[in-house]
Amino acid sequence: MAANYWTSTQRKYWTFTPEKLTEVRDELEGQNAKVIEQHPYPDPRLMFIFLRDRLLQLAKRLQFRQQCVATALVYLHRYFLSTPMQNVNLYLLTATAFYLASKTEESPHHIRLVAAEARQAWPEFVPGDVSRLGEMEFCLISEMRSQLIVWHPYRSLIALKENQELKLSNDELGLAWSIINDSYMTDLPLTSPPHLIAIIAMFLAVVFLPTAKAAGTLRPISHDTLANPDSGPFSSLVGRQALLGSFSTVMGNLQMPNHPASQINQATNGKTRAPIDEPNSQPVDKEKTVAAIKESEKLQNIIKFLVESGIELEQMIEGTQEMISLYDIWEQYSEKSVKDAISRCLKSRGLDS
Amino acid sequence: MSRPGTSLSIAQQLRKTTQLGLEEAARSLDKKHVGNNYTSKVKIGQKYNIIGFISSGTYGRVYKAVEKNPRSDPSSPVGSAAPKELYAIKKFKPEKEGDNVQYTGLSQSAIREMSLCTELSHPNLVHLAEIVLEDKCVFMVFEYCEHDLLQIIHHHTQPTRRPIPATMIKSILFQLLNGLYYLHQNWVIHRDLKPANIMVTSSGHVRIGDLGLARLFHKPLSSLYSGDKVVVTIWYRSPDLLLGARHYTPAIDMWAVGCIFAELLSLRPIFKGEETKMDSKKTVPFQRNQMGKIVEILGLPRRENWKGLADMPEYPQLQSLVVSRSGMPGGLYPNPPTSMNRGGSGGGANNGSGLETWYNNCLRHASYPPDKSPGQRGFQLLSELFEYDPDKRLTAERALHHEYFRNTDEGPHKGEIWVSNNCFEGLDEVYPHRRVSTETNDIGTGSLPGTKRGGLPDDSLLPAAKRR
Repeated sequence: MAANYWTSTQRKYWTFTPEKLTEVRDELEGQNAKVIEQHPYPDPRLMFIFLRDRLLQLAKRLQFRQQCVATALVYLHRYFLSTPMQNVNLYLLTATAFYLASKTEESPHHIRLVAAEARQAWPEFVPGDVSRLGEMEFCLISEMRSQLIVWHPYRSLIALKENQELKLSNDELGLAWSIINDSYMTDLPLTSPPHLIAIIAMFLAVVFLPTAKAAGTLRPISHDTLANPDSGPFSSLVGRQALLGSFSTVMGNLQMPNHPASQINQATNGKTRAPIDEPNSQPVDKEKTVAAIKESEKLQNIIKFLVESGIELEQMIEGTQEMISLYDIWEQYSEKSVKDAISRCLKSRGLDS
Repeated sequence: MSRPGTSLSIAQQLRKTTQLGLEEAARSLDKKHVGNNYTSKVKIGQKYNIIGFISSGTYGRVYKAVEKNPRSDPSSPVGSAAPKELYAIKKFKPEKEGDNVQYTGLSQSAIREMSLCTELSHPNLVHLAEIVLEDKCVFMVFEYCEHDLLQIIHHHTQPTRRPIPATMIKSILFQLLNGLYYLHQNWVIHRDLKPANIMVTSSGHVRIGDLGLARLFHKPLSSLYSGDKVVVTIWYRSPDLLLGARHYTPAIDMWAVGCIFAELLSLRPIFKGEETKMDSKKTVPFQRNQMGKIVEILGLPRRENWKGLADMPEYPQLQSLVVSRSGMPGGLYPNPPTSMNRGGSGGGANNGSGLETWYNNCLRHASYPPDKSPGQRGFQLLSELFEYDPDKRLTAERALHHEYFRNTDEGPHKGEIWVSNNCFEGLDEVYPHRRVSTETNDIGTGSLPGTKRGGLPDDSLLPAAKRR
């Protein structure tokens, strides 16, 4: 694991307790109440799904690395701590975050190229003018106080792969990889250290795997990705609904040392907006799943690992919940409605072009 | 160190900068609600007085500055306030300069230096005070360091050559290694170590500077070679890089440390090759002359000592170097080797005994007193830094434990690895201050709003000998 995450600016300045995060956002919303009220935006997570897709749109034609997208998303998270989404041209900002992250992640693109690509993708909203992107870069760097180096969970996941007791399969690693990618849509990058996110992803991957297999949504992770994890697409978890269905069932059957399953269930059910153990669209044989997991030595090993590794179980459970709740709200995502909300705001506020 | 073109233009430029800043501030009042326009929160001109110009490079310019004391009355007489902190402000220039400066995107090297300097902190690393983004420029405000190794080495050649005291070399080296150990521990390779980038404060603390080429090396995963092809000033470039290594490792910094050590001893670069320029096809050329200079002293690298040697992309070139060496001895090198280097000639295959000859010649010329000599341990250290195989080359951590650093003086620390962190300790030599050029129509007046020259320190800050 990275020797110096512990002294990093990320840990010192950009990791918050959930309470602190709420406080910061409440204050920001208070200062900008009128604008935010006039131009309501969907749930931030849905906004982030949209923004991620915009980054991937740029990445389609410009050579990119997964970590570059992840870094750009973290930059956006940080930026929105001091600027409401309604106050900025999100397209321009996204292109800028991509451009800046390409430099900090050492696969730089020329500003002209990024500007041209963004202009082509969103002609209504992005000026062809390079200097606007350059100016936005100043805004972004300044709000982040020049603290541009971001630590990601990928490295920790690779370390977990090496752990002999966990014996993670490539399928599980592939799932975990996608779950890490998805974590950037939540607040986890602002609240949790990267290794914790990796553990959350690993845990969910192991829980999800039997269901994913049964539902046939398992996408094999290519050998390439594990050997050179930075290449390959920024993939998301597939078949979310089916997997969600299995989650609470599994949790209910799990005996967690020192942390009774009830607690997990409580956390799970307490925060979700929609009950997640409702039968979902895809029929999944729950009993089969449960049986599979009970038999799973692996899950037992993981729980042993969690307890022994001394990680904050409380925080891990909350993080797990945050992921589950993301997958839950993801079902409401409509690209069009986010897009329309942004368009209306940009146009009425004169932020376009 | 290069001189400014004309100081007038600097003054003009700074003035322009500041005016632009004010206009922008005024404009931003109208657009306050919008997150798309940039206004800097801190203004360089309001916080610092520029004393003068230090140097320039491809990145931009460095100025010497003093912080204005916000509490003191600017009209108070000079000297009434407490001594003020000095700073070196590095201004990254925008791509184009002139009246109509535009945002053009920050350079990769600015981004690297900004992001690494905010992340890193160590007593042997130049300390960053703050970064100011203003008027389409980046200003990195560093602590001011009065000296650097280039300047110190130069001072010892003027007017006649006088060796740098052995204790001073030892302290410099130890501090340099200490800072480098920190960098490497944090997965950062400096990639451009050379005497000009090693700063020394007036209290004798060594600070590694200029992280513009530095980068994280654990960052995955794509070849570290991609992106920027040529790294490290050629005289300090390691043989693995010269032979086309695709992956940078911390070992390249260690080679450079060896070169710096040798240069501190002999007061001139040990491998002073001539750079082969990139040809029109933009392929990276083999640096034949530079490699030749190394071989001249160290002998040829050999496969039995360097496992990966035969796999190096430029290995065939090395073969041709052999042919030309044996074919026409001396033909490679139009200039006869200097007396310092003579020991190396003909050292082709004799396991670095050429280095030993070089080293002994060097000590003889320096005529160190026997109890104050870098001695055989110094040679050991140097030869381990000049290990051809990067995997076997001394690491910063191991170098710090080298016998060379064991204290032999009587006293409480005898027998320990113990080196002073003040390289000037016990020495009488007075090193000249860094050259700073100032102008009669000084930069501060008028151009920087709300300031007077009152805060400008006295003449002691100017170089003792006025510029050539």
